Amino acid sequence: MDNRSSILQGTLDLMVLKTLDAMGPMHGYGLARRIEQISEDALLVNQGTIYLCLIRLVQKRWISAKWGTSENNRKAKFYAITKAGRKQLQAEASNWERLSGVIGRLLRLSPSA
Amino acid sequence: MVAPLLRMLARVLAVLTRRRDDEDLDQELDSHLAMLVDDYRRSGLSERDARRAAMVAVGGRAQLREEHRRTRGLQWLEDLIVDLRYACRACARQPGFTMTVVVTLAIGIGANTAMFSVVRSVLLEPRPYANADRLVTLSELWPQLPGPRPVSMLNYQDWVRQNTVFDRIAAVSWGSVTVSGVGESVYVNGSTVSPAYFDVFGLRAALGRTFIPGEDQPGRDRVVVIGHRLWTSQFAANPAIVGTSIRLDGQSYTIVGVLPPHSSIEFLDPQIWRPLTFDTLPPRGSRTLRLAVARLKPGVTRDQAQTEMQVIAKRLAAQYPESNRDYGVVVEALTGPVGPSVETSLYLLFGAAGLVLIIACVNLAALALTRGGTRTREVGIRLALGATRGRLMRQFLTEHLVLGMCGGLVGIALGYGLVTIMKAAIPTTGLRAAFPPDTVIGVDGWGWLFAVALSAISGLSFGLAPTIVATRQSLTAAITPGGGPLMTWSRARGRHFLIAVQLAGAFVLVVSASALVRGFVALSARVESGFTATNVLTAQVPTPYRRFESAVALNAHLDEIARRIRSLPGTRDVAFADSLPTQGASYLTRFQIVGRATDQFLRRPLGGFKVVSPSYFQAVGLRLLAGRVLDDGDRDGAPFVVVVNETLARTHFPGASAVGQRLLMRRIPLEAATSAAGPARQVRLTADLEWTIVGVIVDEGVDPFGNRVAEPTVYATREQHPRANLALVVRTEGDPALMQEPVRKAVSAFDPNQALADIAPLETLAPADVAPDRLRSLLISMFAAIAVALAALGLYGVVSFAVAQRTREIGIRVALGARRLDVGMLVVRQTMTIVTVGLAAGVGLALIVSPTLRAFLYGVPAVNVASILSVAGVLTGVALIACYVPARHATTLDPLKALRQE
Repeated sequence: MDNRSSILQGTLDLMVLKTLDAMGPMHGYGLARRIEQISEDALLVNQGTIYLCLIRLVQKRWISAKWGTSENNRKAKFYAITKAGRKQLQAEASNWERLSGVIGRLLRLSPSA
Repeated sequence: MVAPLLRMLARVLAVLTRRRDDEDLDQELDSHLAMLVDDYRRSGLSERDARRAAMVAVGGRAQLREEHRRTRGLQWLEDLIVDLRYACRACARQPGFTMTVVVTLAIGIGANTAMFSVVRSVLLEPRPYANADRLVTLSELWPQLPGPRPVSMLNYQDWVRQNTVFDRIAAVSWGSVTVSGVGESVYVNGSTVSPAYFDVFGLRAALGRTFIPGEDQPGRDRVVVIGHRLWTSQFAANPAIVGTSIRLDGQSYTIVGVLPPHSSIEFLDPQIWRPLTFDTLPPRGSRTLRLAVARLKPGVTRDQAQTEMQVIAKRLAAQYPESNRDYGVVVEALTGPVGPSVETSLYLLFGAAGLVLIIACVNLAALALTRGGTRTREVGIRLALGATRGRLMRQFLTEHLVLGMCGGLVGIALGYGLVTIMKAAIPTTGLRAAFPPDTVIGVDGWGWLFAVALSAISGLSFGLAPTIVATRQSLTAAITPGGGPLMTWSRARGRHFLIAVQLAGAFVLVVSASALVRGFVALSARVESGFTATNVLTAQVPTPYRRFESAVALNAHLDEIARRIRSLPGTRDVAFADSLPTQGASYLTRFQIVGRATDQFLRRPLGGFKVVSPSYFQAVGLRLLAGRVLDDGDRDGAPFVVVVNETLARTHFPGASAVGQRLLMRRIPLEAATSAAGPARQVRLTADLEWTIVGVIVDEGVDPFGNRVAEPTVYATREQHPRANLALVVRTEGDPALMQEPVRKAVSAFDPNQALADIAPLETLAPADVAPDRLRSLLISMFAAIAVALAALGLYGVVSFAVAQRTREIGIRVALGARRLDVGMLVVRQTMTIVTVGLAAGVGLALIVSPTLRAFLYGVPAVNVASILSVAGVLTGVALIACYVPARHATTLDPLKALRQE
């Protein structure tokens, strides 16, 4: 649902976009594993949740989906980032950098200063 | 910006592809699981453990699917589709209830759609000329006579000079003519107008031009503008018509312009206009202009104009007391051909239709409330399974919305039918035309929109109460077998309130209907009193002045027409009259009773002056009250005699015999009265002539312009008062319609240039005169009958339901020794309480509504004690019948069975 913690959702979206941008087309399983590795299970409650994120991004036309065959010959749906998705990624990424810079500086402030 | 829109679109589409998307997701999850299992296996887990671990890692399949649906689709849209499907199934499952609702709503919505369409096409359609809201008419007010009256030309010229409130102003006079020279001679409604006339309306010619300044000067005035309808009917829409000449009343005129279609700009729907000209201006006391039309300056209100005109009238009265004392001016909004009475009656009927729909909705709400009980269990189970109340409410409302729409669709069909009936029943031409002649009446796109909106509103509003009640119920009561506590009377208060509302509404409608019917009966009695309309054929016989050199020649011409028609088989009496029965007198006269104090001419009393053949009285069956009727001996040269009507005798000779009394009256010379443009010219009345009253007859009918009081009227023969353009009145042996062709042939065999216009049986004219009244009474009676039937049904339903709900209670009462009569009385007494409350509210409402009705009642009181008592009696009777069956059922209940029930 859209109203679930939107920061988490936004993070997950960004992560999916970045992963697809960096690694090329991937299926849902691969994406879930990848994100689990990076985020150490902080973002995905369970692997199924990735599909809610994927359908949302497909509907926004930031990624596209196509049925294909996996490396070990299983039928799987492959997701690829679109042009609109790249643009969105760029915008979001710079947003994040700015925001994390701010938060970082805020957290580094020592009580005595 | 685009992304959210795209997403919304995708979600809407996803609702439609729901099944395929589900399968897609399933496949995807299957392969996800398979890959995960593979990985776990590779890391050394057994097949079974790997599968278990994978399923845990992926999460619950069902929840995921549900969540996925919610993310990709739109929950509410999916719910709506489910609800709609469910609603349709629910309707199909209970055909009886569905039929009742659909028929009830269809009647209400149909009536409203029809009234809406008529009101829209007749009243709300913008008129085809600019600044219609600034157009006014100006008429003079005469002493002693009600209503707006004709205008003096000299006064009009002073108005033009002195006023500061009008942009444009123009004078209008009568001007019907015989058009000849193109095909068959036809007699056409027309006007003579000042050249500025078309500018007042901002109307341009479709072909050629309208009048230019100066065309009211003698010598330049032989020009004519024709209407679009005359152009198509008489001139075959010939585009080269402008510049050609036609003959009007035997004189040559040049057509300078053709008006665009749908520009009938007047009461009588003229089709031909000529400039208003004067050789010499008539004296100020000669009031021969029909009226003036004007356009207010921007920002000036009609009241301001009225005030200024009143000042000018006062000034003129002081300046010219002999002609203007006690005369006033009235400025009225130009209502177009639709008179205020048509407007009021349309709104009245619209209101009645609205009331019927409200009663229908209230009735259905009560019905649905009683039925709501039967779904208690269903609602309970749904609640127990976790449905939210909001979700249930939405489902209930959707169901009612579907019912409303079904009712609306049938209602639109009914509306089409009703509009057709109304169109057929209302005359659209002639003096009492209810609508402008070019009005297109029909159910159009707006009508559909109105009906659909109304259906939605009705569906939701009758569904609201049952929805709230159904979803408010407590969970446990619903699924406990036996239905919780005893149903008590007080818990049904909502339903009783609805019944009281219905009764109040029905009461108002029945009282209004009965008042209108009584008014209609009174009117019909008055219109038809005095003459027999059966077997009488009438026609207009236009005889342009210039065709006949003298009154003698004209009368000889008419005598020959009469002789020829009389010789036709099947005719009994042939007569001429200058106005038909039901149309009052077309000319007014001033008279001085010989032997009374003499008054100057312009202060003498006024009366109608009607020129007739002696056989007229017999032809239309006018009853003689005293003396004799006119006869063939009352010729030119014989002593002048008149017959007067009852009203004149009663008004001026109260308690004495009018026969033998003498009146001084002046004659309008033939030349003035005969030309269609005549009244606008100078009228030189003869000197006073002495007329002896030889007889008194009954009043024969009414003034066509809504002034429904018989005027004092005198009748003279056409030999003693020659007049042209008479109407032909033929009493026939059999069906007068069959005589139309023979009469027409006989006349054209005698004189091919003699046109006959408006040939029709009198019966079709007389009812036309009262048709709007008849239709009004009929429709409102119909609405009232529907309302009473609905209220009775509602009462019956609610009382039966209450008895059924109280079966156990009644069983206990009977078991404890209550007598059967007591039980029956209990039901009746409680019903009557509702009825009394409803009727009391109805009386109050009726008193509020009654002033609106007064205009249509012709003196009959709208609400009186007798009508209130009788309507209340009737409704109470209906209520008693409605509760008789359930009350009887209650008294015959077997206490054992009743207690064992459930």
